[in-house]
Amino acid sequence: MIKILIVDDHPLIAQSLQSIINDSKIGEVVAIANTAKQCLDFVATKHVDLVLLDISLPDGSGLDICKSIAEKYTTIKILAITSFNEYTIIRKMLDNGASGYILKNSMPEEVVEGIETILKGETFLCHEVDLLMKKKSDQQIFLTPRETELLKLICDGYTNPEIAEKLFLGVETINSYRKNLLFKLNARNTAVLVKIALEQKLI
Amino acid sequence: MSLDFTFTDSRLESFSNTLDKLGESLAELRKISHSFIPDVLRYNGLNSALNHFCESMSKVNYYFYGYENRFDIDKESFAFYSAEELVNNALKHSGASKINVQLVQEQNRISIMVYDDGCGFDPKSIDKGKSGGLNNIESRLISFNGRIDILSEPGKGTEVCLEFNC
Repeated sequence: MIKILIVDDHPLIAQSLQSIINDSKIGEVVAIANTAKQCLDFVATKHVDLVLLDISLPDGSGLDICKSIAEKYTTIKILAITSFNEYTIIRKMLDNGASGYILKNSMPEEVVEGIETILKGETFLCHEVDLLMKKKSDQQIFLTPRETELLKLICDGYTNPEIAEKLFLGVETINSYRKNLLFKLNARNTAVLVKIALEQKLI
Repeated sequence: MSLDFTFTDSRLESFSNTLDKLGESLAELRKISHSFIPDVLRYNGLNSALNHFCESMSKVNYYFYGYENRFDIDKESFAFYSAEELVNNALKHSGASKINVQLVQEQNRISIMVYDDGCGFDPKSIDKGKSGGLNNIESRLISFNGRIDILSEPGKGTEVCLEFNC
């Protein structure tokens, strides 16, 4: 029987997850941990096949716990169950070793489906997260008026001090805005930035 | 129950004193409540806290770029409350249909931007006395060696960027 550890500091959530799992007979809930420490202590001493992991815990972040467990216990599968539906958190959790990600507003059936899927070795994202990840990858970048202004001047070949003078702002400010643009457009350097700006008709 | 009350000089004085004390208590309460740091901010950091905050409002979109490192809690909470103040200003005054909040983090820099497509204003004419929140932000930014940039025009929306090094 698959041994499952639930890690969540909300008893209401933890117990309803326990009911869902026990009713489905997909596995056996061997314990409920309410803190990061309880979770780590438990997996260190008892055999666990799968961990249902919340992200916000009173004494630590599920993101870090996930990484610790995935690195130390390679046979344990991790399914994140949380209310955070933000792209970078989902991304980080998956990068840290989670095999699946479920939002707390999902249907109970998705929890069972998630467990089944990740036990098979596949990745599982609940419906809403799946859509979010797909949308993120082809989301149109939004630029603020200031950023658009700056991008245009960069593409016209102005240097930071020149741009600063034109816009009546400090050079440090312009420098920061430029760095922000590099992050936003995922560009390694200014040349790539200009290329993306022109390709995507951002200016 | 009816209150039969006439203002004598001494009553007026003690009434006035009471109002003063009440004012002081409210100021103290405001100070204390602002020092309460929401759990999500304390444990999960600025990005999560802002995401949560923006999520709870339908007109507000949130974008995060950069690294998810943590900073000192006083810096993270300053950034958070500043963003909150800017969003609330936009909600209250701009009539915007869309508010965008952006956080960019680097190893030693926090950059917050709040944009709305609302009515805009003339930054030169801003009544600093009225905008207590913005005043607070600006004065605390100075202590962080930070910068603020306000871009706005009547009818053309508003963009406020603030940033500081950590």
